[in-house]
Amino acid sequence: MRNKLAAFLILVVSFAAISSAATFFILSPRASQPFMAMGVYSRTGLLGYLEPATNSSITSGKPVNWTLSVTNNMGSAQFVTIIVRLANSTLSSSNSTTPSNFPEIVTHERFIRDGSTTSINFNWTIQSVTPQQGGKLLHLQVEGEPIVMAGDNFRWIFELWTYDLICRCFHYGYGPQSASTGVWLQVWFNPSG
Amino acid sequence: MNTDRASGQPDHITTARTNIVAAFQSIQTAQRQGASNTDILPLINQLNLALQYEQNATMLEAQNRTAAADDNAIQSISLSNSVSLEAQRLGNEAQSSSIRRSILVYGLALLTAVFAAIAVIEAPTARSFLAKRRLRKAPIVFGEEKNAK
Repeated sequence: MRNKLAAFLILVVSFAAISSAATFFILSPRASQPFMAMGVYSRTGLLGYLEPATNSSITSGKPVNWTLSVTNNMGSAQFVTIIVRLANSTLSSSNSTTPSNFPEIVTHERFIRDGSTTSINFNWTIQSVTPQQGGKLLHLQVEGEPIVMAGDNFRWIFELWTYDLICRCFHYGYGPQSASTGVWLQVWFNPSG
Repeated sequence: MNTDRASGQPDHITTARTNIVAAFQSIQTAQRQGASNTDILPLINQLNLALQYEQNATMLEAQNRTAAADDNAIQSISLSNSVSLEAQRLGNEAQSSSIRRSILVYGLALLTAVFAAIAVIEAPTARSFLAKRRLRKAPIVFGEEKNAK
């Protein structure tokens, strides 16, 4: 009888361990790679190029309407800001760890739930192009605001920044601030009068 | 990029911004506690609306339209407060439902283990019981009758 009880207890403990492990596996969330992504497209087909090109002409006076799409797959809602910069050949672009130093032209803040993509409109128009020494002088209208830029190799830079609840600030890219992954895009354009 | 506003005295816009961030924090906490994406969706939409009101308020303040700016900031505060409360409620609900589910599932697992152990221990007894029953039901055929046929 005592042997039977001991065997019963051993079996209960063993079966309990097996069934608990199986339950834990079933209840645990599936592992996934967190990421955020960004894209830019144009409904009217007027998009520049992702590297310098001479045929990506944007005519002055013609409104350009782009849509930025931002995807959140971080496992939780994210508070993001898209910083739009207008760049020329004087400084370097953003990279995977450092944002660009070109001035911010527009910022768009948005909350994005996990597993979804949000669209942000970006509208701009070249008002005039004046040739000058060392390039061109551009007068633009960006989301209703006038912007002036001189130089050459013009391009738009879009950077994704996410809100960090620890520092209560936005930081470049996604993930923890100390090891964040930069997300950025640039679209080159050739202004024509 | 620090988003805190430098201001001598807390105004409605600063409060609106602080409340938006607090609501965002509540949503993230609710998600950690197990609130589903479907439950979170209306809160995210409301929070985006609160953000829009706060941005309008900032823009109106820059244009010195203080009354309109205050109105927008108050709308934003009201929205983000309701989002915070709803997120906390969803989080608590999700947490207690998750605890209940865990207790139920692990209880079932334990019960299964006990029944499996009983089945293994009592298997020989059950086998011999079934054999006895089979033997009792079997017709008795006498040797002489068998030979006569």
